[in-house]
Amino acid sequence: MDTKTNHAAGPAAIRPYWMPEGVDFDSLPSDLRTGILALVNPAYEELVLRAKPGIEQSTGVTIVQLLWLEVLEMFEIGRDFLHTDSSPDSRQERDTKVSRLLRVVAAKGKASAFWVRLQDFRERHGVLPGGYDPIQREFSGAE
Amino acid sequence: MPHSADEEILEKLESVDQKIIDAVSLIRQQADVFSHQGSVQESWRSYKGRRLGPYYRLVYRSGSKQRSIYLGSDQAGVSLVRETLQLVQQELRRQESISECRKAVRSELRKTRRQLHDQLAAVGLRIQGAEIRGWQSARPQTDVC
Repeated sequence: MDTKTNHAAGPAAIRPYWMPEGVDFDSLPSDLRTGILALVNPAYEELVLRAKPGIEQSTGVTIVQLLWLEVLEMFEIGRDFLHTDSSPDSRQERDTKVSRLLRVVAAKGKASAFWVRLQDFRERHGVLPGGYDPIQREFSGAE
Repeated sequence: MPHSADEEILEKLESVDQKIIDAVSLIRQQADVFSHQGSVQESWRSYKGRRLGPYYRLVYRSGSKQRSIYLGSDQAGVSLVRETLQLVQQELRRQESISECRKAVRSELRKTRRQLHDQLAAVGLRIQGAEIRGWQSARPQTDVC
């Protein structure tokens, strides 16, 4: 991923332009905002902005959204280890959160595997599934 | 409560009125009650045609009863009660904002998945369990011939 796009996120971190309206970015803790900007922003630029519209881009968006969820879950779990006690209830709540994180990671792994398969398909056939690649056709026609 | 902010409040308590000290102590002792409710409210009085105030009260609910503690009109003391409340409620606000963020991301993810499902169907691919099937039919025509 392009590390040049990483941004420092202090208390006045800039809201990412790709973030949906329903999210109050400024109300999130500053260290979580830092995580989102440092990890999710570069992934968005690489997997969504550089992708071709259609399946490739939608898969990129899916991976980015799952990555974002992963950051949220990891942040919660990290805080729990610091701030909660070791009572059975707290442990059970932590276990639930860890299971949720693992499900998100697994889903992201599957979406990423599909992304790799798409790239492999394009390398092999010159186009994305469906055989339609407007840019490729345009170049082929020009030649 | 974060340690440094808590210590700061304790230091300021040395120079305020007893009713402010009582209110701050109550919030700290019953942090579980005040973590999700309680606020400082202002009110005005009229005396011989003059409007007096503002006067402040700490308002909260205890069980089924609405309760209030008179704080007076000292701005510094009232600020101290507000700061203590904010500290106690900080964790709740943090959890709420993360929960809302998670909801919004999940909602967006559902929309993206529906869109991807339609796009896959349009090129002959389908989601089967966790796998994407139908790669043979998705190959370009020129490859098949």
